[in-house]
Amino acid sequence: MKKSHPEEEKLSLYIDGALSGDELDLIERHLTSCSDCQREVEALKGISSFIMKTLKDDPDYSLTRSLWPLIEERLPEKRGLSDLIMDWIRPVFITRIIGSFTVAALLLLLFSFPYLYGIWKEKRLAEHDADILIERVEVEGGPVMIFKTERKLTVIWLIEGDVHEES
Amino acid sequence: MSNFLNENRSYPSDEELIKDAIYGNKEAFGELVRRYEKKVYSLAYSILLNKDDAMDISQEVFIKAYEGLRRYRGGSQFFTWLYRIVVNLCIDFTRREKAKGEMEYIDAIDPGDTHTSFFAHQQTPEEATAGREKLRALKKALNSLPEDQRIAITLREIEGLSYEEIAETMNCSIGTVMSRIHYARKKLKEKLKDFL
Repeated sequence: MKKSHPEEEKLSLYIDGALSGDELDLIERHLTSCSDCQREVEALKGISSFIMKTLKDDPDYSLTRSLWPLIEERLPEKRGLSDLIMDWIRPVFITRIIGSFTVAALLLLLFSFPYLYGIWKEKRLAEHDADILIERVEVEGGPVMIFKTERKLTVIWLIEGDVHEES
Repeated sequence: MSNFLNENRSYPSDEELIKDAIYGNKEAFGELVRRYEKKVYSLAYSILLNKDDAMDISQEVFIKAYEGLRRYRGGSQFFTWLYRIVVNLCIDFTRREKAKGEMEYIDAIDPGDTHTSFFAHQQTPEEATAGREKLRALKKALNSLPEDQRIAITLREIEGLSYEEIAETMNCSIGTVMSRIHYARKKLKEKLKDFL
């Protein structure tokens, strides 16, 4: 029967101790019976120890003198209290300005809406009135008044004569 | 004596030192530098594989850190934050140098160099030569890796960071870290087969 090997990346995770649960059990069980994968694991571990040992033995790898004297002279001068206060205030201040403007704009829009809507409606009504056509037409049965707008036509019959009140 | 090393604060925490340094206490920052300079330098050296460049970058790291201390939120460990600066500066440096065509570290070790302590650890001349050869091969192999793989494997194998810490330092996902380390190992295994 052909043996199925775990993915190489899993072996890499295994040597780093990054596997757990079923995955770890699976790899460990497989390793007990697979010499190829055992060799692969040993090779991966070999790389780790080779890198660590070789580089850590390199004399240039370790710092031999403190960097602080070199760094100290390059640091910016001690900052005054006003600089520190401004550091704190500046971002807050900028955020607050932007926030205040946004809120003010929204409030202005909110409160001016009824007013602007009223103006718009009045204008619209004025336009609407202008559309009304009133006409008196004599037809059989008496005169009629015709009111014509964009959407409807209203006809009012004008009845001439005495008004009798019913008892 | 600076005021941060008084009786009550004989060994101030990083957070206390950072707070003092933010308010301009250079001695507090000096203490932070002394705590982390070895780690910072070693990481820079592991990535750049050149002593002088690693020294320059390490200084830049601390100066940048001093200027940006206010932005350190304390969510991550201070050294992870510092490591992120190291990695970013090393990447910038490498790209700059590559653009100038001056990146050449493979021959950084002079085969005839015998004055360094590497060859003075009570080693025979044969052992010293073998050590030089190993180091040369390792540097060559590391240099042949793509930048992100080299940094990931360095952080893992040399600095011993966890996958989570590497992901945080390199600003990528843990899955990406796993993949970078795996491919780096695969290539190193091939390139260093004569030494393993």
